[in-house]
Amino acid sequence: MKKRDNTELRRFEKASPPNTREASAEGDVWASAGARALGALASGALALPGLALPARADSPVQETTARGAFSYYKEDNLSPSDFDNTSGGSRERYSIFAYQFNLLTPLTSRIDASFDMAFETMSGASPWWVVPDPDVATTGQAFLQVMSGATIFDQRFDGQITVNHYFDRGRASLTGGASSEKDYLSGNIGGSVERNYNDRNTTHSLGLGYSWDTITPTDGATNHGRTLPEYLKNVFTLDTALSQVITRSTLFEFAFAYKRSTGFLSDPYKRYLVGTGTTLPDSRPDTRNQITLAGRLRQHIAPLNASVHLDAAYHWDDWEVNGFSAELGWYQTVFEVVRIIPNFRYYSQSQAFFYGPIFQSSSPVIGTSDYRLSPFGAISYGLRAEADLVDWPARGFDWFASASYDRYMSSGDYALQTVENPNPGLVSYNLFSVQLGGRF
Amino acid sequence: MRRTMIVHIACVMTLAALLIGASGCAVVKPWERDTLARKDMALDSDPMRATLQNHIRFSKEASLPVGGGGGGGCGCN
Amino acid sequence: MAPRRFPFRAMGAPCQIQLFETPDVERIARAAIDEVARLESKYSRYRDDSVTSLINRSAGRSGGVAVDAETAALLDYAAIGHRESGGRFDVTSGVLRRAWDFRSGRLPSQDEIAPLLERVGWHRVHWDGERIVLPLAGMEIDFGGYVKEYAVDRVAGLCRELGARHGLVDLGGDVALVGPQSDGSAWRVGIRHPRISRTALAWIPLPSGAIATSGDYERFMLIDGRRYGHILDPATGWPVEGLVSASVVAPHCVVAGTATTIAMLLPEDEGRAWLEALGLPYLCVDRKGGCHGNLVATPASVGSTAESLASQFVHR
Repeated sequence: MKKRDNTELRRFEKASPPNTREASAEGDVWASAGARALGALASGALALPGLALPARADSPVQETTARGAFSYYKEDNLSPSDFDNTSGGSRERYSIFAYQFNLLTPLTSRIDASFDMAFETMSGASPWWVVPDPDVATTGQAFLQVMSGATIFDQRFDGQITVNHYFDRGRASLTGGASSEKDYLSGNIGGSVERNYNDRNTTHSLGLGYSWDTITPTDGATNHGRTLPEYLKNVFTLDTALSQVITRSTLFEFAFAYKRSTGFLSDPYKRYLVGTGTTLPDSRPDTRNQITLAGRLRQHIAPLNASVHLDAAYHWDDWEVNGFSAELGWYQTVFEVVRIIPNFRYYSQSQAFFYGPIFQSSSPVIGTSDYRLSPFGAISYGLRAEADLVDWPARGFDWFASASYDRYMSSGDYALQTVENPNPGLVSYNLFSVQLGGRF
Repeated sequence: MRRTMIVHIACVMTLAALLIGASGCAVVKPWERDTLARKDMALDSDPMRATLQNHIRFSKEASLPVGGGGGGGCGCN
Repeated sequence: MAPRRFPFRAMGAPCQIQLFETPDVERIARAAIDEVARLESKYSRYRDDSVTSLINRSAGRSGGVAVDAETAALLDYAAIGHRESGGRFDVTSGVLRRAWDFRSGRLPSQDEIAPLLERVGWHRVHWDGERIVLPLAGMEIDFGGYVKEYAVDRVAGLCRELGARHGLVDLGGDVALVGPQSDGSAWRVGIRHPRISRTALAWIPLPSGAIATSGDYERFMLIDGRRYGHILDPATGWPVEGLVSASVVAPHCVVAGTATTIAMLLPEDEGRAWLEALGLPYLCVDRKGGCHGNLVATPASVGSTAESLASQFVHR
């Protein structure tokens, strides 16, 4: 052990024996002494063996948690005034039963893992292409939606595994998963790291992901003239976030996400009208770069025993779709363990540059009539109730339950910009959801 | 278009940085985190619902939802 | 779910480790209790083979004693405490206890105190980071003022090293957390009432870090209606007439404990000013029974008003 230079300390000790202290009420002297002392004592403490290890800020779970959810998603039927009934097809849109399951379990003292599974069954007709409304003079509506026939029953299965390794100041995670439908198969891998600073007041995270999808279109799909029987798509994502504690009851997060998609990005089940009678297959560019910037605020309002969540996001991409969303949630605690959460969301987007309800005679190489790339706005509102039950029916069992209803409506009228000819296929839906979880 | 996009991004990031810096962030000590530790103060209070909502938004809207985490897409129409 | 409690006795006080159930909780608790025992035997002045006794036996010898790394760090910490408290926090002041026999009910004379004062003073000690020299025979070092709080921190860290995430270490009321309760909520730590035994003054929610309490209730004499506590001013050799109790929350128990000890060594008003300026959450009780501080606390009893609290105190 090397000799320490204690000359500074020793000088003080020799110079001032304690009995020169005044016993006067010099609160000021002691106040300034106190202000200085903490730093010295704290760093002295850190030099003590075994104390320099900071408390692990984040840690893996110690108990296994399982949670399941059941949701029923029902889109409104296409309104008769939006429907082109001359081309066959059905007005009944998507109806989906979704089942989700999650298991989170500790593996070692520094590692935990989560398993996510989702299963969906869906049925319903989907939009095919858009035609002009012959009765536009009387209805005031310029376009009608041609629908596919009600689809056969389809199923989707999705699984994801994530392993988290916790360190003194953060976490590193690896994730991988796959998703499959009758005509669609997707695999993904990703990794993320998170680190906190400033006594955990600041957290920075970074994630990268890669997925590859193969589409094997089935009946009703259009052959795009490609030689491959399968259509391939690759997606690269990067996301990063910075969250900062502002006060004891305020938290703010700033997030950025980038996504680059390459390959077959069109919808093999959709077409668009060119001129008066010809339809061409939905054909989109084969690359897309998207960016989203988002801010999230969490503010607790102690006198009301409630918290406010405010989320806002801006989206830009090189298909010229600009999007804006703002979401407000009010988390009201009642009876200590129950939360009632009304929420409201507004969304608006501009159209992709290659979108049109219909196209003129000179057929472009790319085009789409898909309502999802049209200009529109959407309003949604909902109500959720959550409850936490601890030590019931016996010690060691904790439960979580929630039930929610959400209504979503999209329309050209809700958009920030003026939309002269909204796509007739814009969708509205109801969503019912229940969740049940436990920790043991 | 690309230049407008870059200008937009720069503006928003500057705004956010100013917001975080100018708000006079307190350094909240670990023993003062009782309020921040509440369930209703979490950034993601219901990850399962968030996954479902992001999945629906990805299928019905053209924007990229943030806070998705890993996970593939789907062929939803 | 309730945590497992492992009570034991050490350093002259009732102690406990509380850990939430995991497969190796017993192994962790055993390791924790063993570590407390190790520190107690290493620094106890009642054991001939302790480092403290080794140092104290060398008093008066010019060569002094070489010490290990752990003891060196503790001595460095003692030096910092001495400097930051203007000399009141003094690990050599233990010899004064020879003049004060709290069981006798008798006040010492100045003749008994004066020769002891000659041997008190960290400034007399030679400490160069490797060897410690107590130049006068009869001088003593006593780690008792902070080794208990150090043990609390060290044992909490040890539990975390062994994989525990949710628990607390409590040595005689000085507490450090291993981690919050298993559902993430804060622990509730009781602060002992300075005048009513087996009663809490207040309950402190502690989500992380540590809390230490110093009080004058541990050893004292009541003579002619006046209370003489065991906290002695190293300058005069007489008990300090300061706060009755002080509690501080800090990331480390040893810092919290030093803060409360220094606060108790000061006259009441200076003690309060010191605690206020320190910047840590604190709670203190003055001789009239007034409670001060910025610690978020729940009063232990609903009827605990300032008046009823004051009436429990002996007025001078």
